[in-house]
Order: sequence, then C-alpha cells, then structure tokens
Amino acid sequence: MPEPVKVLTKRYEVEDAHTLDGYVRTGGYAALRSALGSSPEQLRQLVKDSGLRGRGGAGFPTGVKWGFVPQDTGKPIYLVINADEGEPGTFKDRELMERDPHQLLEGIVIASYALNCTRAFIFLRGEYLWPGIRIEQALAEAYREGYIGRDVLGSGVDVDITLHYAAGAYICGEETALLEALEGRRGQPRLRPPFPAVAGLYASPTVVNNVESIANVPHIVEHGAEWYRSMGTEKSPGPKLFCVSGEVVRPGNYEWPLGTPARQIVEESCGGMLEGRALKFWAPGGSSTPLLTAEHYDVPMDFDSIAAEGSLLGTGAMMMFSERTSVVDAVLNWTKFYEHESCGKCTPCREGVFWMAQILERILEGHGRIEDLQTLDDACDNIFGRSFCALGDGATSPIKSSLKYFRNEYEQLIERGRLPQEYAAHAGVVTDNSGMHRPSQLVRR
Amino acid sequence: MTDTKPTTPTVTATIDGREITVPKGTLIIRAAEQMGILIPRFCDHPLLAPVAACRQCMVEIEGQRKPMTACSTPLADGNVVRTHLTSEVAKDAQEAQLEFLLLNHPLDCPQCDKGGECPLQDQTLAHGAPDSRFLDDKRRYEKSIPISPQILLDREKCVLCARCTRFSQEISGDPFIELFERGALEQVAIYEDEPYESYYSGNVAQICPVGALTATSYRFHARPFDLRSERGVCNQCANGCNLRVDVRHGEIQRQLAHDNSDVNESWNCDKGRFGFEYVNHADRLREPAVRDDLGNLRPAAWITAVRRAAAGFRAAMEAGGGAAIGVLTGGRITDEDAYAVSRFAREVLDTDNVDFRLAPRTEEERDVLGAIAGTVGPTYDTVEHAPVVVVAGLDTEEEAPILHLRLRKAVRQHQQRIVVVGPVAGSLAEIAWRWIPTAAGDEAAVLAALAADRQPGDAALHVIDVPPADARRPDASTASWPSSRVPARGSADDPVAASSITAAGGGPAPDAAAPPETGRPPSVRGRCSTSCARRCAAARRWCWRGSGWPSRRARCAPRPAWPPGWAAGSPGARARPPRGAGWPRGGGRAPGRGGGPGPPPARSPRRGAGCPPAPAWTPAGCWRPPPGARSRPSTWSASTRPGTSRTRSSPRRPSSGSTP
Repeated sequence: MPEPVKVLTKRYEVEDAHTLDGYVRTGGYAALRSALGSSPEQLRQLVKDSGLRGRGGAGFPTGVKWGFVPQDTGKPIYLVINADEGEPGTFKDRELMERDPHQLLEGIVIASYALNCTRAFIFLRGEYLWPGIRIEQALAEAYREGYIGRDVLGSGVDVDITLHYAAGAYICGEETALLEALEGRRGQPRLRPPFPAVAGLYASPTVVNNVESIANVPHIVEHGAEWYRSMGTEKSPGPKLFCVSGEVVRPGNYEWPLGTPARQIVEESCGGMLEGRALKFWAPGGSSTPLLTAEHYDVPMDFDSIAAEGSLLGTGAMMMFSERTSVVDAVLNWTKFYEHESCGKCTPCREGVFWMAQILERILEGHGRIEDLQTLDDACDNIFGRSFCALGDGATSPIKSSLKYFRNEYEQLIERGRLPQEYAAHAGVVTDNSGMHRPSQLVRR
Repeated sequence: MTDTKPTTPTVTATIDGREITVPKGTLIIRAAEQMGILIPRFCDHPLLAPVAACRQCMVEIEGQRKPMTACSTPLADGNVVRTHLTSEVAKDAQEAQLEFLLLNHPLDCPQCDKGGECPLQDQTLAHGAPDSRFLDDKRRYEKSIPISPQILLDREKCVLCARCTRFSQEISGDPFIELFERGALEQVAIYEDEPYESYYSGNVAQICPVGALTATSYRFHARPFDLRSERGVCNQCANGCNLRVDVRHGEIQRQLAHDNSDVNESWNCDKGRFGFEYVNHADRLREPAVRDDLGNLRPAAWITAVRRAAAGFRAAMEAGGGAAIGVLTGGRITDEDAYAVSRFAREVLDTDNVDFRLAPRTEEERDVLGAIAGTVGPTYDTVEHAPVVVVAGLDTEEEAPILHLRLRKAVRQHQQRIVVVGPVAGSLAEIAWRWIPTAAGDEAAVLAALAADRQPGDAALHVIDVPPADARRPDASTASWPSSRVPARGSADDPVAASSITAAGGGPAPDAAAPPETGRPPSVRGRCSTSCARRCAAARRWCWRGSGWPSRRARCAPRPAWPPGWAAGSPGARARPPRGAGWPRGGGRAPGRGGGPGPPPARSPRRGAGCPPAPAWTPAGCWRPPPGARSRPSTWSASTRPGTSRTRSSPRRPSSGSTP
C-alpha cells in the first residue's frame, strides 16, 4: 500500500515557509543553485527522464512539452504558468501558492533556464487575492536577493517573472485562451495549429505549465529522476496533490503518490465519508471528468487507471457525494457553471450547454419528460468532440456519466416530479449559482 | 511572370471518393468547392481568416478521432475526406450544429428581411430536422437596434459567426463592432457611445449569414424573390466596383457588391451601396423642359425640345460658327455616351469646345488628363502585389475606398510598403510606411525630387517614418498652416465653417496656445432638428431621432448633400471646390465614368471629407508623432486607440448644398 508523501507539501507545516528566510532555512533554492551548474539541455533531459506529467488535467509529459519548443527561431521563448485554477473542486494550486510561493518561483527560474526563456508570466486566477499577495511578496524578496532578475545568483542568467491577475474566466484556463487573455484580448481559445510551443504568446514559442507541474521541478532537480520515479506508477510517477471535497470528514489537500487508491486517500487522510453517509458517486478530477460510483472506490488514482474506468484524473480534485445528494441536482449545478463559463465562441458549447441546463432545470422543477433523457444524451454526443476546445467536452462529462450510472434516478424524478424527501437541498454542492445570469433574465415578460 | 515563380507544392487527397490535387495549404472547404461539393458553413468566408466558430462544416477525415472543421483544416497529402454526402458522422455532426443554432433563433423567417436568401434557412430546409426538440426559453433581446445610421442589429437572429467583427477588424480596419459577453449571452455590440461608423458598413449586412445585420435602406422593402437583379458598375467614384442592383417594380430597392476578384473582390463602400436614392428622386429631371417667352421652364415633348435645341445650335453657328458653341457633359456619363457627344460636337456642331469638367481644378490637370487619355492604368492586382506603392495627394479611403481596401490587404498579407506624399497621411496613416509631408499642391515637386534621386534631408524632402500607431492626422492644436496656404474654406461669409476650422486649429490664425478644451473639435453637426427628422423621413432614411435609444446623442444622419461650396447658389459657393472635396472628385477624374447627378448617401462624416485637414507640415520642420504614441497590435480596442476621434476630428460643414 502506498504511503503518504511530503514533497510539495513539505513546508506546509512550517510557519514562515512563505518568506524567503523560512524557505531558504528549509533547504529552498538549493535546487536552483545546482540547476545553474548544469546545462539547459541536461535539465530538459532530466525532467523528461523523471516522467513528470502535467498536473493541469491533461497529463501530458512536461519534459516532452519542453522538447517541442524550437530553440533556434530567433524569437524569445516564453514560459507561462497557468495559475488560473478554475476547475470546480480544485484548490491545490491555491494552497501551494499561499503556503509555499517560493517553491513555485524556484521552479519557474529553473524551468526558464532550462528553456532559455528570460521572461515568465504567472497567469493568476482573478479571484485569488491571497495567493497573489503571497506571490507578490515572494517575488519582491526573491528579486531583492537576486534569485530572480538580472544575473540570477551571479550565473549570468536573466529571468524576469511577471504576475498577471486574470479577470476570472474559467475558459482562460484553456492554454490558448489564456494566451489571448494575457495578450490583452478576449479570452477565447485560438485555432490550433499553430500550437503554443511554436507560436504562442506574442507569436513566439511558449510553454504553458500548471503551477503544480512547475513546483515539482525543484524537487526533481534536487533529488534526481530516479528518486522521482520511485513514487507513483511507472507511467504516472511522482507525488500528486489531491483536493478532496464533498461529504467527507476532513476535506482538504492531501499529497499522495500517484496510483494511490481513492479509498485509501479518503479513508486515511480525510477520515472517510461523513458519519452515516455512504459513497454514492464521485468525480475523480474536477467537474469536467466523468463521474464514478462506489464500485470504482478502489481505483488507483493515476492517469491511466482512471482512464481505464472511463474517466479522467484531471486535476485530482475528488468530489465525494453520498446518498443524501441527488445526482441530478449536482449535475445541474455543474451544468449551470459551464453555461455561465462557456466563452460563446463555438456553437455546440454555447447553445448546447445552454439547452442542457434548461432541460435539467425543467426536470428538477417537475416538468421533465422521458424523451428529455434522450435529448440530453444526444446533446452530449453532439457537443463532445465537436466543440472548439475542451470546455464543451468537459461540460458533457457529468451529464453523460450520470445518465450512464443513474438513469433510474432521472426517470424516477421525471415520474414523481420532485426529489424524494431524503435528499438534502444542494447537499455537498459547493455553490448555488442558480441566480446567475440566465438569459431568461433578459426576457421582458 | 508565371514561369519565373517557383512552382507551388501541391497535395493530392481524396474527397468523397474523388481525387483532387490542390496547392499546399488549401483548406478542405475550398478544395471541396473546386470539386463542386458545397460544405455548409456560416462563419467561413473566403476573404476572412478562418475562425472555426460555427462548427457547421464538420467533415470526417480518415485517421482523425473527431470530425474536423473543413474551414480551418488544410488538406494534407493522402487525406481521405468524407463530407456529409458520404459520411454519416459528418452528416450527423452538421445536423446537430444546425439544431443547436436554431435553439435560440427566433424562427421569424416570414417577417425577416433575409428570408428567401438566408443561408440558415436554406440549410435548415436542405438538411435540418423537421421539428424542434427545444421546449424551453429562447434567448431574447430587444429587436433590431441601430448600430449606425445604415445598419440594424437583431441579436436574436445572430448565430455569432463573427463574420462582421472579423470584417471590421481584418478588411476595413475600423473595428467599431465587437463580440461582447460570453456563453449564450455572447452578442455583437458596439462600444458605448461609439456607433459603427465605417465607410464599409454595408458589407457586414451583405456577409451576415442570417438576418441579424440588415440595412435600414432596404428593411421591409422587398422580398428577394420579388426582385429582379441586374449587374452594374458603381458610378460613385473611379473605382468601378461591380454591383448587383436589385429592382422591384422598376425601382431600385438595394445595391449589393457583386463579386469580382479583379476589382472589388466582394466588397464595396457605403457610398456605392446606399447611394442610389437619387435615381428615383422627385427632383430628378424626367422629361425635357423648354423655356417659354417669359423665361420659365415648361415641360415639353421630346420633339419640341430637340427642335428647339437644333434651332438654337443653328442660330449660334450662323452667328459665330462652331467656335461659338461649347459642350459640357459632366463627368458622370458613360464612355459610350461621352464618345457620342464628342462626335456630335465635332462633326455636327463643328466645335472642339468639349469638356466633361464642370469646374476645372488646376491647370496641370489638363496636361495629366491629356497624358492618360486612352491608356490603361495599373490593375488592382498590380497595386496589391507591388512591393512599394507611392500615394501622392490622395486620401484613399475618402476618394477611392476600394483601392484603400486593396492597400490594406497588401499591407496585411504581402507586407507592402506605402509611401504617402501629401499634406496629410490621412486614412493611410495606419498602414503607411513613410510619409513625405508637402504643402497642398506641392506633391508634384516632391515626386520630381524623388525621381531625381534626391535624398531625405534635402530641403524639399522631409521623410517621416509613420509608425502604424500614428494618429490619422496630427493633433490639430499643434499644427498650423502657413497663412498663404489657407484655403478659401473658412471665409467670412461661411460662419459655421469658419468657426469650426478655427476651433480645429486649421483656420487662418490658429491659436496654438488655446487648444480646444477637450482636445476635440466641436461638432458642427449639432443636434438634429425636427425639420431634419422630417427630411430624413421624406428621404426614407433612418434618423437617430426617436430611435428609442435614449443614451445616444440625438442626431441625424447627415442629409444628402453636395460637398460644401460645390453646389451653385449655396452661400459661400466657390468656383473651385476645396481639395479633397469628397465624392465628386473620383467621378470627375476621367471621362467615361458615368453617373447620376445626385448626392452621396447619408453617411456620418468621419474625417477629411469637406475640410482641408490640419496639416502635418510646418515650414521649419515636420510633424512628429506625439510623445506617448506607440505601436499597437493589429487588433486593438477602439476605445483605447490613439486618436479614436475618427468621428470627431474632422469638422465638416453641415450639408449646405441641398438646402440653400
């Protein structure tokens, strides 16, 4: 059985880890010094060897991504840190930036050096005020002490880091929309190709990495690829922050090696499900990942095992729900989120999610018809794989998977016209955005 | 030419089982068109960059997990593409997008202007579902709202294909419309208090694939299937745009740009598109008139008029020979008519006194016209592919709008360098590479200096780098004209014009120490009077008054008018029109561009038109970009652009010609 690890979270208990003093005292910036001793090529190879996979959701190998960047175009190379953590249920980067911002900065400096990049950007979710303050303070300290800026630690390497507060749009977590927004335009995804590695920010080669991915880099540099591969599975090595929320005793961020069974994480770290509540369904990696049920409780939490169960590891945001929660209610809540956050660029996502939200709402209001389930299913099929970016795909995941596992609940709801008494209203559902901008508000009745 | 070009690499692929070879980089949708396969599309337009937003053109490509958009995917070697004709996946995907698009569409085709020629309607009929599964609330907005005097926007019908916004960004370069909001609430809109004032706004109504953008002049006037379409050539300027003229019951209902890739591609300007109302105007002469003994004009039969004219000619010839007769045709008749008149004058009337100009501009013009008579000028294609273009004394957007679009395209696509010679860089400031300021009328001297290979730094040659971000014209308050160059414009008997020019800094004695407080010249258009509203109504023209848009300044589209001082009899009329006097100039440039006598269509004055612009030239040196002016990316927000005041920087006299 895997044991919990303390790699990214090793300074979470240290009171002043967010200050430069506290960070350096606990061994910080040692990896940067050793990285500056090796060549960029060696560093890129090291990350490739470590098998680090992107933690933003797609799980693409970070080292391979770095290798795609052409080094001889004569254009500057940019590193952009995707800190626009908007996936419902995900809060790993937030704590990471609040508690240990220097870890991220050290990772950025090393990655920039490895990529021959002199200007990195942190694209921070607009609502993240406290992480922003911590990062700003950390940046000021690191600049002052020469860890960032001109001639880092006397090595002749220049790395500048710019913190950019985003305006708070979920779509800007999509990397091309992020780049559009960073350039000052409307946050809508770009046509690919060209891919960001070739023509990203300001039409220059650009690497977009998640906060957690980059935070892994100093540890890989410090302890080596071999050590890194000792954690996790062969194809998904390393530690992972799991953000567990929902009807568990102690929700929070917990670091485990990839491949740890979900049950172990919930039972050992979170104290299990709430008293008297049994697991009914859960999302393994945020709301964009298809739901799983109690029978998948023992699935190992790594990219491939979860994919084999028909879902995605995503960001590792495990949302656990018990019998007290209506799956239709939860799905409606997520669908409203996607309806609100769809950027509007492409037809299927803009219109399809708008439609699905209305159907779900109608079913919950007691006006559902049995044909609606077929319509929902068709709409999901027509959005998935046909929308411009992955937002539309993600929006179909909860609906499609809940129809797969809980069709009878939909049918009962349509028959009875209301939820059974035992369901708590919005139990375990994080937000109630039913009052958000529905187009119906525009209707002048 | 062609044999010196390197041969373009080609790709060979299969579409619907038939093989095709096309140049590398050809989009699937274009390749399919060549084979006669029409893939449905909304956002795709051959002259706009692909955006792949509507997802209607999905096709199946062997080896790809998902259906791909044909409008954004280049055909690759060996691709096996199946369209909706042969692939269930593609058909399914296309039908699904259609269902999605119709969810929020009001389906009010019977009362929609686009009905009968609407791609959405056509495609729904061709392969849409017979019934809707949508039971819920549609997105609803206020019905057609004006975004400019010419264009109405119905957001309910909009399918958000972004053709219009891309047109205004990429082609016309005046992005006053943008997409706002997100999700199902995404909508086309204009900036607060900035109407969509473009010289090319009519094009967005034409390329809109649904009835979301419509033209006020055609709204509720006719049905496409009641119209008889004729091809024509625009006669408003020398550009020669191809037109489709739609006629119903013998009356022109609208004019559209007709595709001609050699001339206007798919575009035309608003002047050409909307300037047809004079044709059926009540004031237009429809029958001959003969003066009676008291000198009053009386309608007469043709035979009477012809006999009377013949008698007049005969009398004149008997009295003084042919030399006693002069023939003035005006510059707006066709080549054929001009030729016939000329032969008649020379052979029957025995006179050489034939001219098409009502008012000759300059002496040198005569030499120029003599030199170019009968020659064939460079084609638009030559201009587009020239590495460097020198534009002398011409504000292209004002005087040759389609040439302006070509130049913009050349700069965008071929990195063309444009050198502007003249008092202002004008509309070319955005795209010009260099600007050589001259006093008005001195362009020829500069061209001679250039031809003589005199270098920049020479007293005659101040070359200015015009960075793309430059304001279209220099800040009026910092520039001054040499007093000898003051045009006759702000004369004392023209108080409105005089005051506006002085305020703009371009007048005889600009007070540089007292620039306008807001940096923005006062509008001379002022508020719309009731009589103005009535006139607009009479002219069937949309008026800002009472538009139900309370936040907006109440104002009228300017009435049709001759440019200031051009019409005889108006106060302040002059023998010579001011430089750059707008629209008659192009038409008067060469014989053989036929045309009507009437005024241009309503259009909000933007810049330059009737007013000699404040110069960028001072005797001591040359104008420099104001500090802080910096380059901007190609797509920028109109609200933040430097010198956004394209609508404001050019005070223009209220149209005085039509109401003397």
